[in-house]
Parts: sequence; structure tokens; C-alpha cells
Amino acid sequence: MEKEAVLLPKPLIEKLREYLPKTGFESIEEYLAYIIETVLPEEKGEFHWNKEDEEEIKKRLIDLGYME
Amino acid sequence: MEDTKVIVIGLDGADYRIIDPLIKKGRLPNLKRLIEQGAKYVLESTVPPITPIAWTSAITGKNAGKHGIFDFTKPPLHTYHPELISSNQRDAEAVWEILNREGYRTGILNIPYVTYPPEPVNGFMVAGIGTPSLKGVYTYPPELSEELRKRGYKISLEDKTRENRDLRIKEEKRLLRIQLDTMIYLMKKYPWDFLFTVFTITDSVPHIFWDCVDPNHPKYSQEKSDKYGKIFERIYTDVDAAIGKILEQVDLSNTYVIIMSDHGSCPLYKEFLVNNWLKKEGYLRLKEERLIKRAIKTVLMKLGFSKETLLKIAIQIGKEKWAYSLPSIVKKSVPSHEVRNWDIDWNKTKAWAHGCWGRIYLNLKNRQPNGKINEKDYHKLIKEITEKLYKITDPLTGKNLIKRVYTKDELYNGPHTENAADITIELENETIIPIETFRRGEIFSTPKKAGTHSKYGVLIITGPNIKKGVKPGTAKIIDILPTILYIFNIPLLTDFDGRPLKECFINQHPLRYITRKDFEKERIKKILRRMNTDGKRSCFTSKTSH
Repeated sequence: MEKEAVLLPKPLIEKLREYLPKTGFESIEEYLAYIIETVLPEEKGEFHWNKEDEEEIKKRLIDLGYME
Repeated sequence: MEDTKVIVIGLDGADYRIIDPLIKKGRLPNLKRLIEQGAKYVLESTVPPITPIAWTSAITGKNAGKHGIFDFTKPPLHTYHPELISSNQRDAEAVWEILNREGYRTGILNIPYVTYPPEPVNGFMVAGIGTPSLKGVYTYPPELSEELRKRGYKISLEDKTRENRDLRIKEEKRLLRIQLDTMIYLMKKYPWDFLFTVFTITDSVPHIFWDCVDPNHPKYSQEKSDKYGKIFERIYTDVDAAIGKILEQVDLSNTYVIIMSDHGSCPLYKEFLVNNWLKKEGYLRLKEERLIKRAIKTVLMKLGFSKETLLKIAIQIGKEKWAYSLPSIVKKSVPSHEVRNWDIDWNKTKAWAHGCWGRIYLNLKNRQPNGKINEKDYHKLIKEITEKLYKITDPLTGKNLIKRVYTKDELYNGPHTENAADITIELENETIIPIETFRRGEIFSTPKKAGTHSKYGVLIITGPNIKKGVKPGTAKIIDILPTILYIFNIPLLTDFDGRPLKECFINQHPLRYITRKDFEKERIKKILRRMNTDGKRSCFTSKTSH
């Protein structure tokens, strides 16, 4: 996976480095990536209509007078 | 506030012009009681006042530039044929997301067009109109779909009701009964702190029947009036009774009741065909047809072979679905009295109207597939079209047609503003609406439907801490969510566009605001606390664990 550098305050990195042996994680990067993935909200994901469903809805929109 | 509950009953398209006279006649005892015991506001809808943008603004407290829902379809950017919207396109937290995070249990039923696909909630969600079929999953939890199907649940009407007014009324009333029964069933099945349900009959019936009620309507006749003149009374009486049945289920000593519409309702006399106007002014060009093709089409249409007549036949023989599902190449070949999107010559078109309310998009380079307008000419063209729009005369009154022309920045703010239409128009006369459809030749035409949406709708709030019998004035639809959070004493995010309607509360607690950054910090802390207690991540916190 492609990676990109993020800058963090040095004292924080020092703290992390000290704590890392107690975590079982192999690197600061791996540990931080886990934390970030844990707290980020789950994405809603892509949703696309299939043609038949879309036609069905459009038909109803016409029926209700929203579309002609 | 631990036991506080809130129930929102949406009446799509409800209007005081219908409600107030019926209350005077003693026909709506429940709405009368709620108004007497609470605060009655006039509710200002969105511009334009259409269902997806209005309901989304209500449930997010934000303008469309922030939540990203502008229409039934996605904006026509990088395509001239955008797909329909879904709940996934909403880019702002809805009321249930905020309440769930705060530990409250929510039940959502039938909010139109903005709840499909259904979202995971702490409680239940049943998607509203905009759900393609009840055969799939349209609820959260998913297993509720099958359960409701077995109970005979319905979201919308059968196709065959379109051409038959009596059948339409019967089916609309049946749908209301089914939705009410489902609401009461779900209220008993699931524990809840917050409920939001919408009845759509108050919108769909006026769309069809204003010509039976309004003597000034161009299609009004004594015969229609004799037969259907009391139709609004009949359906509003049923809706009032439904409200009464829901309220029987709740303890009003700790429950706030909010009755609201997403917009009002009014008769529709004329349609302003924006694309025809753009064509007349030289901004839009149609593809030139070969003489022979045009001649064949003209002959076929004279013989009655057109999209419109074929569709009518298909409806009569119950094959409407089949007609709609024909491949687009077949549909394009059938002659029509209407000009369709695919008839536009995009290489020679500078601007066209798209979607509900005929909003105008410029055919901009690097934004539209065959964009013609350079970015440097954008503002000049907007100005030119705007000036011409202001000169159009209302065919009914002889006065100016246009009340206001808005650019996207005048209407919206937020990251999605750039996706909004370049020009949105608001008309002086609410009985005329701008539309995208263009029929051959005309700029103003007689509408197929009898009624439309108006800007001002209904808002009634009652509850243990709400002043009785007050009329504080006008509220905005974006005020609904902040007011709900105020009731639950949840801090308001500073990026809401709406405000809590604090003035209608007897004891007013100070407003608590929270910045987006502090809100995010709290959210992370809650996730970590939750992980500490049960060792696993959850997107919800339970109220009892607080």
C-alpha cells in the first residue's frame, strides 16, 4: 500500500516509542494506523441504483406529479 | 430530561389554508387541541420547496450546500443524465445519527426520498417513498422488512390508481391506515425516545384534486366540485384521526409532539417551461432532424402513435412497468409531444433547465460532457440570462413573473454549493411553477396536475415545557433539528444553519454550543470509553449505559 508522511510533535513520538513495547505492535506507524481506523466513522459506501429500480422510482415520481 | 421523548409527525405538503378552516368547522379535533396547547408557527420551506431538499434540511438542520441533496436526481455534472439520489448522498448527520450517538433510541418511518437505502440505527428505520420495491431490504433491522411485508405493509400506491380518481382516494386512504397501523405496531415493538413518521396523503391528494376545490382553477367544474369538493376535508379528517391514534400511545406529560410539513400546498394554474424559454432566447438548441424523419414522426403522431398515447394504453392494460422498462433506443424512437433531454444538441447549447423546479445549468467547459461555456464567460452569461428572466411577464396577472433569480452562492453555502444549479428562480405567483419538461413551442402551458407546492407550511410544537396557544411567527425548516436537540439538551454544533426555537419554551435553558472539533473529540472519547467497558467497538452508545 502506498504511504505518505505525516508530521507529529517530537515529544509525542518519544512517548509513543516508549510505550510501543507494551502494545505488541511492531511499529509506531502500525499502532497509529490501528487507532485511526478504530476511531474513524464507518463510510456509508457507494450506492448505485440498478436500472430497473431507478425506472420504478422515476415512474412513481411521474405518478406523484414530481416529474413528467 | 432523562425520560423526555419527542415524536415528529410529518404531514407532507400540509397547509394552514386547508387546516384552519377545517378546525373552525370542528373537523380536526386533534390538531385543534395541539394548537391550543402549543406553539403554532408558519414554517418556511427551502428554495425551491421540494420534498428531498426540504426533508433533508429538516433532518440535518443545514442548507443544501452542506447536506448535498438538491433534487430527486444528483446534479447533472459530468453527465446530462444523472441518477437518482439515495440516502448515501446525504453529507450531513441526520437527527437519528446525533441522537443515537447521545444514547437515545430512534424510530423512523416513511420519510420520503431520503431514507433509502435504510441506515443502521439504534431502533428502527423503515424507508419511505423512493424505495424501489418491498421485495428487497427497506428497513433496519433488515429482518423487519419481511415481517412488515407479511403484515401487508405498503409504501406507495399501485400503478392503476393514476387515471381513476375514486380508486386513488380509496387507495390513498387505505395506505394511510396501513402506515398508521405500522407506526403503532413499531411504537409498541421497539423502545424509543424519538420517533419521526411522515404521512404523504396530504401532499399526493392535493396534487390531483385542487381543481375540484378551487373555483378559480382553470380546470374547475361544478361537476368536479359536487363529486370531490370535500376531498381535502375527508383526507385531513382521516389524518387528524391518525394523529389522535398515535397520541393515544404516548404519555403527553413527558412527550413533545411536533407536527410539521416540508412545504405548503396550493393550486397550480400554469407551468413555465424554462427549456422552451431558453430555446426561444437562443441558449438551447435541439438536434436537427432529417426532413424524412420529421415527416414520419408528424404522420405517426397525427395517427395517434405517440409516447403519450402508448403509455395511456399500457396503463389501461396493466403493462405500464413493461413500457417504462423498454430499452432507451426503443423509447427514443417513439415520437413524443414532449422534447426530451436526448433531443438537445449539446454542442450548440449554452444553458438548459434540469430537474424539479426547472433550475438552470450553464453548459460549462470541464464540467459538462460537451461543455461550451468558458469559465471566464460564466458570470457574464448568468447576468445576461438573469436580466432576461426579470423581463418575463406573468400570463395570468400581467405583472412580472419572476420574484427573484438566485445564483448558487445566494442560496447556499458549504462544500456542495458548487454542485447546485447555476440559476434558481422563484416566481411571484405561487400558482405557476417553473419546470424542466418542454413541450413543442409553448413557454407557458396548462399543467397535467392540479396542485403544487407552496413555500410556507405548517409547524406545531407541544410538550411539557412549551407555551400554550402562542403564535411566535415564522420558523425555518432548518430550525427543526436544532429545536429537537434543544429539547433533549444536547449541545448544538456551531455549523448548523438553523436555530432552536427557544422562544416557545416556558423554562429556557441556556443554549449549549459545541465546535465541530470539540464534538469530534467527544466522539473519539466515547468510542474509547465504550471499548474499555466491553472491549469492542460500537457505533452506538446505549442510553442505559450512561
